[in-house]
Amino acid sequence: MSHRRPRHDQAQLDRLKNEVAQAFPELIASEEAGHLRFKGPFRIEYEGRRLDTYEIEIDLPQDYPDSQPIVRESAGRIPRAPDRHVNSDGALCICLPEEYWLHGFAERPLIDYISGPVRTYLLGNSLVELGAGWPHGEWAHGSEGLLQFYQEHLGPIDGRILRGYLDYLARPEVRGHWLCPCGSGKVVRKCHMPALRRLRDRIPPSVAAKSLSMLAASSK
Amino acid sequence: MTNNMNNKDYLKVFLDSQALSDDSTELKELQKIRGEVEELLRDEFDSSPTIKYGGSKAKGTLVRESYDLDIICYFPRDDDENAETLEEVFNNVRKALETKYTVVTKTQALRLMGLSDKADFHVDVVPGRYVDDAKSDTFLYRASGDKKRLKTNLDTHIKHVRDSGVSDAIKVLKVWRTRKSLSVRTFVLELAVIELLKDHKKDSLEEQLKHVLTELRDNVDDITIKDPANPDGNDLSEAFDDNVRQILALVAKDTLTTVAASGWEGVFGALPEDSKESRVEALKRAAAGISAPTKPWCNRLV
Repeated sequence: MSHRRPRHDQAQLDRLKNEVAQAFPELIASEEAGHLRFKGPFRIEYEGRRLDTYEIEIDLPQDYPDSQPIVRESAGRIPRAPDRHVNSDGALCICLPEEYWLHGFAERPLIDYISGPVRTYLLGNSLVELGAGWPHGEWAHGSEGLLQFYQEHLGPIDGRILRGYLDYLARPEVRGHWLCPCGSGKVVRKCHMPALRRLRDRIPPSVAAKSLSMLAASSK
Repeated sequence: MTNNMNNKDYLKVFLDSQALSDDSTELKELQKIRGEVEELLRDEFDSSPTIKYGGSKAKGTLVRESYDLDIICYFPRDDDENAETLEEVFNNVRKALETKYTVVTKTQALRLMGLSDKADFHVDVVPGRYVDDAKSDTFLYRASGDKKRLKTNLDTHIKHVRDSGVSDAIKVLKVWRTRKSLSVRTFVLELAVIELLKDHKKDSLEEQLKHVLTELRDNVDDITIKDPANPDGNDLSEAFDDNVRQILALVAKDTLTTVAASGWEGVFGALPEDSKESRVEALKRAAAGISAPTKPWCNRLV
């Protein structure tokens, strides 16, 4: 599959604006030099009841959908504290880039990302505010979170083994006769090729390469 | 819950308590009734008329305490088979509805009775005929008054309210209208609110509400409203006459006095008790309903 896309043209921007206006009419679009932003209240509703409302901004980076939308809470309600998963620039850490790709959000409409991971994050924050914790858990910060993610898909591995897997995921192709990164001594075809293939089908080499860099930097 | 709440927070929670989400019992009931009415009309008129939501459902200003169901039933300009005149359109739709419902004829609408236990809930079917093939401007029949025909445009009405940027203020004031038993028509109140807030869209909700109420109290006679779909042809002076204006001014004055003395809670009352435990339970149920959840991360420590 090809993971590279051109920058947005006006037709794409109009389609995105229209799509969001239909599903989230209160999120108002603004556009500046091809940069698209949505701003307004986001309501969390369930079983006919409004559970919470957040004021949010969603910026689409130039390389969206290759990169996740940048979401900020604009009323100053969510503190920039480690347990809230907010970057120093105020961007909410909605999910791992790997999750974004694994769930196919780069291929799906923007509104799926808003009603999916964005809503999940904000709903979780409401519970954290009430002292209940993140309902689906949370990834550890930085490279530790990456390790947790890959452990869910590749089994109990450590950082060194993960670097081997990420090295394979970052390559344009993986040959079956190469040694499996798990350290079993077997060739990858006879070992972890199915798991690697599942990840490679979804996660672009560029994302794996970035994670590999982060992991390498943290191990220094 | 409201003990430590300021006015801004109160209004936010109050609005939330008035919201009707798509899976609410009330909206499901509206959808069911609309489906039944459409089925009946389709049986009679086949695919000819355009049948869709009008009113607050389409405008995005539904509130739990004040919602009606408006269903429009507009025939194409050249449909002579189902009715030749505008009056026939109105009467033929009425006859079709009477085969199943008790129908009361209003000026431009047919009101279906006995569809809800709520006394103030109405279902109105509005028959009409499109002016031309563009299917936008519409002629409505007027069952009373000297003028028998009114030109209007539902899309313009919906756009005017939905895109006004002041829908939260409209929602709160619709509840205010209901709670104070004001006779002003909802459409007239919406137009007045939009007109009064045209230069106040960036104000906070509380500032907007206070501005509207202050204008109603002090300058109600200066407020001019026009039907955005027919500014010259649809005279709203009767619907916004001196009597309606004076009552609005009096109630607005009373409301502002109450807000000054005891905040918005004094106007709308204590909010339904929503304990921390019940909020947590509701949020947890909502979280459990997410089929493929993602988890928050951070690429660096803050």
